[in-house]
Amino acid sequence: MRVSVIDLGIGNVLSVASWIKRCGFEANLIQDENWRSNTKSIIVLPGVGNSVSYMRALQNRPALYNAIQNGNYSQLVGICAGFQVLSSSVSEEGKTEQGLGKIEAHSKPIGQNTFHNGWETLTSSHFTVIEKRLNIRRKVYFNHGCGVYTTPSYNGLDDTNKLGFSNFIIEGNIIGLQFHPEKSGVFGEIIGRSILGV
Amino acid sequence: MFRIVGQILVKNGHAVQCDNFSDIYSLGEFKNAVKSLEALEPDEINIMDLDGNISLTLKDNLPVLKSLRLPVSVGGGVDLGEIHSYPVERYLINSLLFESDVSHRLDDFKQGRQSLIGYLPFKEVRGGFLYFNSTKGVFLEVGHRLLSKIFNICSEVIFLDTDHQGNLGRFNSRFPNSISREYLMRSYLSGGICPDNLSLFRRLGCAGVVLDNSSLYWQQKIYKR
Repeated sequence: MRVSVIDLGIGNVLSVASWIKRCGFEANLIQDENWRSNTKSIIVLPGVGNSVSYMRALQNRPALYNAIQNGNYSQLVGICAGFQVLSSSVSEEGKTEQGLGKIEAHSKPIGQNTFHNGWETLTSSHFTVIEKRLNIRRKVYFNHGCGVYTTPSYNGLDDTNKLGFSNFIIEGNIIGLQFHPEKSGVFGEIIGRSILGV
Repeated sequence: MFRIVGQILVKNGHAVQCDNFSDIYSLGEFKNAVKSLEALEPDEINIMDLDGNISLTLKDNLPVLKSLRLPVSVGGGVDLGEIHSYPVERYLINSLLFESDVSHRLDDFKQGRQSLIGYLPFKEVRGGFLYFNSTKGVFLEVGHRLLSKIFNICSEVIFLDTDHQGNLGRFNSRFPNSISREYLMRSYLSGGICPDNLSLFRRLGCAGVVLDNSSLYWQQKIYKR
């Protein structure tokens, strides 16, 4: 399966591409110039970035932006900042920008000068089964200052952190992960094989 | 979420060990050192290039860096304009912190503040603390205003006790009282930290510790995430 990793000149693109390869898939770095619209692939939006800058960079790449807006993908996966821009709007450092609008949510700072960094256990029962069956720890790595907050009417699968933002969202062929699977050890690769292998 | 960060010091492209940044000796190839550290599963791997050539170190070691499954932070001459070209997540900055137009210079920084870590080596002088400015190569006073600015720029700050770097169990116990609790919660302490006594640092309420010369402990299972 071919996976297209969007390269906007922001974020840990190489870490994400390496993770995809470790999961057993082919990863292609895609800039606006080399986007080919004739085949649908899995599109991954990597993280580590300011979500407003990220969104503006995406808007400045019309081929990529239109491909995502027109649903020209078999699956869309957003990681951290790449997840935040799937929301209707993104706010960071006092600036706001319209998001991709793929999920009914808003992305905003989790607090003033507040950052969420470190390893946490995912609480979803789905992961409890994986942990027991494979005897591995289900801790994942977070590093962010903004979070995705779903609207009350949102009805997709939303695993909410105790701090109020979404750990991950699954809605049809759209997956958003606030944590970094590419930096979450062996468990991150189990998640990768699961979501990219669909 | 108390974190234990394993740090690899790099000089001339080799992993090294040192006391007070002198008596430096090689621990062998960088790629072997970083893989050994990864196997112990620290919360984060920090790579500090003592020559200020971190870009070269990253460039020369891309295959091993790409293979790392854990978050990587880097320091020592970080160029914020090109850092996204490498498979790393967080960046340590020092000299930028002392520049008056730093906020303006970071206006175009697209990686987000969560990726910025301040790096402040310190030493105690007559009961007060001075902080190292790597551009000038001197220890300077850092007033409340500058410290506040640093914590506004960076998500977290590493404070390195240069008086006791490499001397186990000697971390300056007066230092944590010199900064507010609010800042301490976002601070990593480093230099002279004994891995057998980490509960002391957990009780302080700091973000975690950075074990420099972590090679000393590669045979111990201290990184119990």
